Amino acid sequence: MNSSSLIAPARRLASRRSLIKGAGGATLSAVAISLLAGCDSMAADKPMAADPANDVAILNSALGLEYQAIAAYQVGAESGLLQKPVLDLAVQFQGDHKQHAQLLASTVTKLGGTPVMAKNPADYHFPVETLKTQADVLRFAAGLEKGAASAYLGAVPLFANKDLAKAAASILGDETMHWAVLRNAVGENPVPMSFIA
Amino acid sequence: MPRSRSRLTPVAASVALAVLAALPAAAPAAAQQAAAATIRMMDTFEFEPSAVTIHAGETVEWRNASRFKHTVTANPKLGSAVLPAGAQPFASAELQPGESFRQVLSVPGKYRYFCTPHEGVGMSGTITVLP
Repeated sequence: MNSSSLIAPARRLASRRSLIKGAGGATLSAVAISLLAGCDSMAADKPMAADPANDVAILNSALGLEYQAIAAYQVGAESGLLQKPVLDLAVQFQGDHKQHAQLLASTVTKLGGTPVMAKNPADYHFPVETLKTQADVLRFAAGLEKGAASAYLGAVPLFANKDLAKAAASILGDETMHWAVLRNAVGENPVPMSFIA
Repeated sequence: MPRSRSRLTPVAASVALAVLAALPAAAPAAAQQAAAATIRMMDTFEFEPSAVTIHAGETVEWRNASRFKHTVTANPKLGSAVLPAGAQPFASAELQPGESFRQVLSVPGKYRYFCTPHEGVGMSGTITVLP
């Protein structure tokens, strides 16, 4: 399947300019604000879970992966290998990761932690030398999304606070949708299994 | 009063003793020598250090120092692993936080391994085995 058979995104795509702008320019969706509000109430009103530092550490692990994904889509977008509809999709997905990152960083801060920072792009050691075609970029992105989904799957049961687990599960769903769409775009079964691991 | 469930019957006790007696002989060689390299599995979905060098016949130990479950997978059929010619694929079970996995590497060359669930986010490492 080629790029023209991509599932059309239902929501308005972010502009290419926003792709270049960086994570700081993202704005939170209503859902993210709602999730964050749950975290707010947890931070302010409820007794903390057994080890809040543990929850902060898990959030920071996830935040690191979001920064990695943002950088990866940047590499893809700047590769010159993505045709217009695919580039739009990459911009949209990168925008999702920016929202995730903003939510996670805000939550870490509200819980009294220090959000991890994004690495320099070169420090992610992306396999740029192997990205020769659009399909290469899409498979690379699909691998990242699958890995991120697995990471969130591992994170959900680790949170002491259920609000945080719910937020992580919400992001897990989004990463998995990305993965499926990217697989579909390169002609692979978008849902290759009944359970992810 | 009912008998305690934890009390072993004589037969079960004999079996347990026999198993315990056999354990040292059955233990893999990797468990019997000090590791030449220890690699930690991190919360950042990285192996630390990501590259190590040992000599043939030495043991590598991976310790899951993170909060997440990880694997050590060196099987080219399961992902991006690379093995020297003649080396056998190997893989750990899913390692819980705090668990370890050891492997003796006897064939010189370069090994590339990964964590099965987190390969996509770059959780991989290399081992160079010198003769």
